[in-house]
Amino acid sequence: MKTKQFLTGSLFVAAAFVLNSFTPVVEGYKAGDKAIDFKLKNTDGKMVSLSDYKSAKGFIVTFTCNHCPFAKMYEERIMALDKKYASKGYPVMAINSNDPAVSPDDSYENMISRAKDRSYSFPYLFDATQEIAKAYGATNTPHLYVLAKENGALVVKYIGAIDDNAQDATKATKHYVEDAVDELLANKSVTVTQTKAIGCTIKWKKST
Amino acid sequence: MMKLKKAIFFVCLFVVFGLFKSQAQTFAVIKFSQLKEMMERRNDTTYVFNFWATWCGPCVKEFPDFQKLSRAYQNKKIRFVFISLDFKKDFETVLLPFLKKNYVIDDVFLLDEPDYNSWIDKVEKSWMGDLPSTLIINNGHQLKKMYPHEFTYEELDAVLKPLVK
Repeated sequence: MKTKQFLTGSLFVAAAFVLNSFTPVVEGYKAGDKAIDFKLKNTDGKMVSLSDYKSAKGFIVTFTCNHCPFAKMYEERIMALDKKYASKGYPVMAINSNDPAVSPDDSYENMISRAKDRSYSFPYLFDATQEIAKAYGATNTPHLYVLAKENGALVVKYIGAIDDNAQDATKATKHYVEDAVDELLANKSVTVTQTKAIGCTIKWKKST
Repeated sequence: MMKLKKAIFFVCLFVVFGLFKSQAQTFAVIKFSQLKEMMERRNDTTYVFNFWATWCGPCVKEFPDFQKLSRAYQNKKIRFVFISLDFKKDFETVLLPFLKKNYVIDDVFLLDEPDYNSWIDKVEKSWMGDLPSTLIINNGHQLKKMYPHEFTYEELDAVLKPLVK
């Protein structure tokens, strides 16, 4: 009896160990997942969290940066998203996760001047540890996450590109982010929940 | 003596021309249907499709190594094809000058398809559109592999070597 118990016990431990060693690397969010909040430094020096926005219905979390040509092409459209949706309860939260050692244009100091030059109406946050980009599974800039508050949780509703034409906003025919937020505002479920966000790759820290 | 010098001169001339023999490379703007045709070519040649852009730093960094490898494998059944995701408006003003400056000997096509989500899965389902990425195809040998990252000379050489044995 004792032996049996011992065997079962050790099997359980062995199984737990095997499961543990096969835990996959976090692959980031999919639509329907709960997103984590963060506490990141804004260009005004203050720390910003999503929980600071008590009256928000959700967020348009945008991984972007200074240097990337795609981020530059989309900058105006990101600014327009905040102008259009912040007052409706979906403000833009821009996050730069690039390692300035790899991409000096994306340093905190350069973020400050960028935000000032363009008078960003939204926070432009520095993810210095890159932990938020990793948790969300962001790979590119710009890479967007539409989140909606549901029962106190932040639920991912859309992941991907802003629209279907980076080069020319006037030629875009599918406005993924706007469509998603509009549907959420109308209490509908989001039709297109995922697209591939093309752009520059996030500049990860070189492992030492 | 004079004759010998002349002969040496001609030999040199042939060697030089041999080395720089102008390949019939093409620089052009294409649509996805044309890329698809290229990807579906069924013969015993291995095609190395490098997806890149002049605005992509890591792409420009690896570009010279790809050119060196293309020359190194010139006499093997390997062809390099560069698929540029530069913008159509930059074809004449940015891409062509870049190719001339770098003495590019391979085909370079600017893929004019701004709606990436309409074609990216058709290149490779798992591909997220990272630049640079390199797709190696040999339909005769059922080979299709996407490498969504940068390559050094040695790394790509190590991938190509077994393919020409």
